[in-house]
Amino acid sequence: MSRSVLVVDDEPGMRETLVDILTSAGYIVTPAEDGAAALEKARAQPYDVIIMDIRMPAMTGVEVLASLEHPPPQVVLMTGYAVDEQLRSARENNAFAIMQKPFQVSYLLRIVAEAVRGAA
Amino acid sequence: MRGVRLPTVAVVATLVAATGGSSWLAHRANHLEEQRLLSERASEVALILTSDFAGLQTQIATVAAETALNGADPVAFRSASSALTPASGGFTATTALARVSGPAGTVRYLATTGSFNEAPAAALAALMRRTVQAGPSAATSIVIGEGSSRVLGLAHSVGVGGLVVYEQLPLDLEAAASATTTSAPFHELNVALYGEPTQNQDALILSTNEPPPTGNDVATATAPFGVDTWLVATKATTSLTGSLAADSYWLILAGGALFTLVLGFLVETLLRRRDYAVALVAERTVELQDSVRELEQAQEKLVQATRLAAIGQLASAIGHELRNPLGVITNAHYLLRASVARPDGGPDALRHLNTAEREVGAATLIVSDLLDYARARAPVTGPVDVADLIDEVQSVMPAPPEVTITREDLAGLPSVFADRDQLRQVLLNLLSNAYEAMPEGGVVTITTDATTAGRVRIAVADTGMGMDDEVRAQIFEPFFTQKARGIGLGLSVTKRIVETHHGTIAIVSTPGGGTTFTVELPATGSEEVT
Repeated sequence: MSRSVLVVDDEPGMRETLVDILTSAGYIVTPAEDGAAALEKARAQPYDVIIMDIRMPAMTGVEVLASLEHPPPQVVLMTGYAVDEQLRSARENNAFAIMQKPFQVSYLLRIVAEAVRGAA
Repeated sequence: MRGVRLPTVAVVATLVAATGGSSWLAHRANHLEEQRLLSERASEVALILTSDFAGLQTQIATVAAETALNGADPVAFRSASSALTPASGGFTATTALARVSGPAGTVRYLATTGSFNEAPAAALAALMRRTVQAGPSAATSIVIGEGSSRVLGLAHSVGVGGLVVYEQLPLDLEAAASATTTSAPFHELNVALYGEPTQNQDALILSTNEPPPTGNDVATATAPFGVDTWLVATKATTSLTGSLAADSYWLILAGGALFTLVLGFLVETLLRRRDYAVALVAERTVELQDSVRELEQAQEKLVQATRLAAIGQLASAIGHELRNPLGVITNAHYLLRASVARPDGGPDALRHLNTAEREVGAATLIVSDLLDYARARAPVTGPVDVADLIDEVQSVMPAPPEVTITREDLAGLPSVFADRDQLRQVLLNLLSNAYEAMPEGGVVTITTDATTAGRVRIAVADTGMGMDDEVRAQIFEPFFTQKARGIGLGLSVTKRIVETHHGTIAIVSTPGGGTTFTVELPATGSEEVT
């Protein structure tokens, strides 16, 4: 059975390609362009996995993670270059994984699959 | 210990020479004055003697004249002679009238007023003959006798018949000696009287001191008596110029020595102090130079560290910004591969290619920004129509749908002297900043104006989120950014371009109240344009 994934990234290119990749891999994917939209969508509907960029305007991925009212089982964070403080905060908030951009798509799919299994 | 310094030696030597010279001159001057005074005194003594002789001569001449008038009458002679006695000063004069006759010059008394022998002594006879031979009314003198019985004999020729008037006065040696007591005139002198015009000791008549004056410091003066000339020789027994004048050269010497000592000491002290100060300054200078060197090394290290930190900051910023497009391109490649494997995957493949191409563009822009920052280009200037350039920038970077642009252009705005490409980059940066400040939409107002100082003002105002003081203070710093995307070089590059155009850029912003960037550039033809 397919699982729901929320993809959060302010960068349209990244957001759209991730949606395409995960959709073709059989997930039900919902895009969100920033932290506020992500929180709204997560509040409206539970997701199995959230894949989220750390560096976003107004609200960082780590801040969104800390603000989730009903945190889904797994949140995968992405970053180009994360400072130590953000990484520590992400771990404290039980992020499932932190992926360094650019990453291999196969690696992404494996992480998402593991996260989904963990959520099951 | 170091020796006495050369300037001190010079000062002391000069002063010693000056003191010695002054002392010698004073001594010499005093000596000359002493000589002059002594000479004067000798003349005075001789003058007094001459005066006394003249008195005696006048008296004896009077007797001689009366004797001649009375035909050498012995009674008349005695009568005339009586006027001579007693002489002043208690002398008792003894007189005689004698005749010198015959070829042998026989002398015979005609009349006497004292105890004379029958015939005059040989010395007296010789005197009388000499007087007659010397001519009518000639006068001569002689001192005869020994010790306390010494007498002064004066002879005067009557002028007729070989007659001679003779007078003899005792020589008061005690009175002569009393002349040396301090109350007497000439007490400071050793005076000797000679019966000849030379200091022949055989002719010495009397002297106030024993021995009579001899040597270099003797002044002489002559005192004539009739056909004879006597000599007065004087020598000072004490200083004639006074003891102070006499000792002045010693005083000068002592004072000079003292002054030399004090000044030498003073000069030496000052020199030593100066040397100490110079040494101290040299020491401090070396310390200061060391400090400066250390400081320079520290600064160099700091600059090196700062440079490394800047490189690190730059590398991380670039790395982060490039990883995003690389990540998208990686994803696009994955999707592209899947699309081309499908028979109907053409449209999807094209879409993914477009995505990849867009991301390559984004990466290229980042690299361009970086190069713009790293390699500042000198502006190639020319007149630029600002309104025209703003039109172009607006067409290159149209406003997002939710943003409105309004223009307030001054009619007849002068052109600016600028590098058109660089000024376009400035305007693009300001405009894109304005758009990004208003994600929810708003109004961008672009105003152009001319200042009274001959400058063109371009203001770009947004109605966006604005910024606080802390952010505003750092807004032109390289690598400072509040955006999720971008390496934070845009405004830094903008500021630098404006400044290389001799312009200024200012910012007014309040949180929630929007931001206005104002650029001022020299107008074409203004004096500022170089």
